[in-house]
Amino acid sequence: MLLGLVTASVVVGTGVYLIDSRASHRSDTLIVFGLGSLVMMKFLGVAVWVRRRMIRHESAYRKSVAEAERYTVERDQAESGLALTVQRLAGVSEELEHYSHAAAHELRTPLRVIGGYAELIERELANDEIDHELVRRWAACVLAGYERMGRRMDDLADVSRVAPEPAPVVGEDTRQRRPTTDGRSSTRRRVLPRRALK
Amino acid sequence: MKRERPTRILLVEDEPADVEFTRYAFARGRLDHEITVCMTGRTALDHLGATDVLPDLILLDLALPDMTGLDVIEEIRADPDLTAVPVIVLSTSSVERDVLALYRAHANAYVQKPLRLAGLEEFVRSLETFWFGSAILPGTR
Repeated sequence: MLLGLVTASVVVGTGVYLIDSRASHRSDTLIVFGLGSLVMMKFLGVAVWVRRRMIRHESAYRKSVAEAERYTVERDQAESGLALTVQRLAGVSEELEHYSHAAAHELRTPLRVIGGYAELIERELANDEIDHELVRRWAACVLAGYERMGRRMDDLADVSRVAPEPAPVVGEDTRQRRPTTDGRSSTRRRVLPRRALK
Repeated sequence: MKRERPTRILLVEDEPADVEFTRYAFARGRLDHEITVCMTGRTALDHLGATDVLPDLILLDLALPDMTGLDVIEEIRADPDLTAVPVIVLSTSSVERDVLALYRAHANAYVQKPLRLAGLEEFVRSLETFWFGSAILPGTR
């Protein structure tokens, strides 16, 4: 910078000297040279001050931009995380809805069986002539419905315990665990389409 | 309500108790009827494809062991010979999504299975009154 000042002073002084070549006295030339140098130095000082201010402002601006970019990235990450959380919560809510409907269905069916056969028995017992064989068969159906309901409640409880996430639980058709014709309990499971619970 | 022949009903239902209750409810009604039971969707579709005598009404359970009632009704509606047969869907579900899907597939009615036998008998009576009383079904005149 000093070199710049000196060079500028020399250039200005030389210029002034050449312009003022008609000056009669060398001392006048030196004064002009000196004043020109001072003016130029002042000018350069102002320029340097402005430059420093600009650098400082530019630095602050870049810092602000970097912070803004970092904030934008953090905000985007937070928004995507929030969206993901909302999506997962919506999924969990939907799974719970499906699960509750499936559970209601699984329990409602044997309940209807129990209630229906109980009503049949009640009506038959109101008759004058009771078909005891029929009543025995219906009573067996009531008991079978009762046992079936108990199994389904156990199945639903098992599903709740085993499933780490709600997703596999939805649509679980625990009827697949009903005893097979040879008396063994089937563990095969079927996932019902969500669009159509019973 | 007097008809020249028994009303033919195809009951697609895999739950034996529901089959028995439905038969019982129809037996206590006034309608002269014949009930054919299919316990899977595929057997119902095979039956409909093979028979020369179409049912007057199909009572279709929504959850069947091999396919859903929605699948069954979509196949029925896709068959020009079957598309006019009224189908009433029976289900324990009253979920709006299911109801909407079945009506979109051109089910004629969606009925939640009554919890009580008396409710089922009331449903059968309403069938007799509306579907076989007020309504004119295809191939019955």
